Amino acid sequence: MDETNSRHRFEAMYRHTYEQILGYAMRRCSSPEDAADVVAETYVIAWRRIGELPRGEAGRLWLYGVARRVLANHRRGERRRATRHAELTAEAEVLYAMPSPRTGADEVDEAMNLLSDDDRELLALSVWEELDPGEIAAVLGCSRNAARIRLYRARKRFAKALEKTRPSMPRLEARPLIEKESR
Amino acid sequence: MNNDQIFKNRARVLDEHLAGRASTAGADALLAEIVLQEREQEPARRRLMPSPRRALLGLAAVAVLTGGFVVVPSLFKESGQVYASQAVTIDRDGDWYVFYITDGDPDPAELEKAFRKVGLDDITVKLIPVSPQQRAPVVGFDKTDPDARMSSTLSDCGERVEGCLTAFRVTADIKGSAQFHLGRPAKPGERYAYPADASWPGEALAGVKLQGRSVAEAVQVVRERDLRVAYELDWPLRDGGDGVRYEQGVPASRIDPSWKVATAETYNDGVIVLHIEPGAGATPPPGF
Repeated sequence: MDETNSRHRFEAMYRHTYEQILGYAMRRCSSPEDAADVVAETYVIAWRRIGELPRGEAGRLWLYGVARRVLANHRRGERRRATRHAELTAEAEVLYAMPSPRTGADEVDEAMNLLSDDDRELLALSVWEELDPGEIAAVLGCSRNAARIRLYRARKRFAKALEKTRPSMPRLEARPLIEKESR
Repeated sequence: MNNDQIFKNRARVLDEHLAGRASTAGADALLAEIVLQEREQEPARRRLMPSPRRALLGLAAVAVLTGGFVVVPSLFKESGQVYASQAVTIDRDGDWYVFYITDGDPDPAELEKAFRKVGLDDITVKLIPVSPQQRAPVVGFDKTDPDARMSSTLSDCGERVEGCLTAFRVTADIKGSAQFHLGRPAKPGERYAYPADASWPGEALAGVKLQGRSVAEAVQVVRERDLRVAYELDWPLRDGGDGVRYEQGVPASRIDPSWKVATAETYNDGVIVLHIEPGAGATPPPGF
């Protein structure tokens, strides 16, 4: 692949996936600086390894895989800032300052905190990134079947955690009205 | 509200709220900054593997790593389909048969049945565990016919056959017996039978570039991650040809810490195999 082709391919992939990678980073980073760093580092790696970047939809999954490792390294305190990305950081700050669509009580946060990092990430990939088990498998580097089973278990554990942190709600919702009236 | 929706509502932002962000000043500036950086070059590296352990992979690895990645523009055009099943579609393309694999975990027996249908009676298939990131479908090709050739393609074979995952081709007049070693994604924790680049996503050194760093630095990075180190020396070919010959299982005592790392590989077994370029003046052992 010559230089011009690589640039065109990278730019097309960058424009096509940027919102999703930014979203991935923002949903997982508590500060705009971290989110901007993760986005920048993910694409730096993608550029350096453009020859390995799969085409089409698989490319987006590959990028999620890279972003996941970058994030894990950040959490371990390792940072490699190959770019300045000052404007991106400023934009992320504005986005973080916007009102969040988050709703619900603190019990949900508590339930999420009861989950292991792996369970949380599985649910996040499924619900936030809207990936199916085959796509999750590609991001995590496991088989489709393993992803399906792990996702199923993570869902069960999340349901249990929710019951634990807000015991009254699910039972109230589940009880048919007719029973209540007949007593 | 179901639990997925409850989880979803905790997202700081959803992708749909970021529509249009890919062309902001920040996105433009980052893109401009990145493409000014140097890319990793991937020199054609001919694999010559003298060890019996790798001997069976030898010929095919040569094919895959030298010519195999070259995508011929006409590959997916002007060819005629001669066989199709759920797992594989076969085209006859001039002097070649082209195989489009449409099953992520193909049954060797079914592929062999397909080969028989087009007259390739002596070709067998063996599945071996490889990194889930491994993109070349064929990681080994054992053959008795010296003129037979094989190549993989990494281009989007889905343009030719819907649902195609990988494709490869073999010269149609191949004689004698031959065996393809096709990669299947290793199960979690399973050792790879073919090495993967350790810096690939999901691998032990994901995103970490050791290429070009000194052995001393690289070893420190590897050990910090509680991984062990093994060494291979990549000796230039004596005839000055393009490629290297690997000397495997080299003890640390023969490695100068100032030598440079060429690549880092993993078999997913807690060991990082550092390929080292011997420094100027280093004497190759007999046979190299």
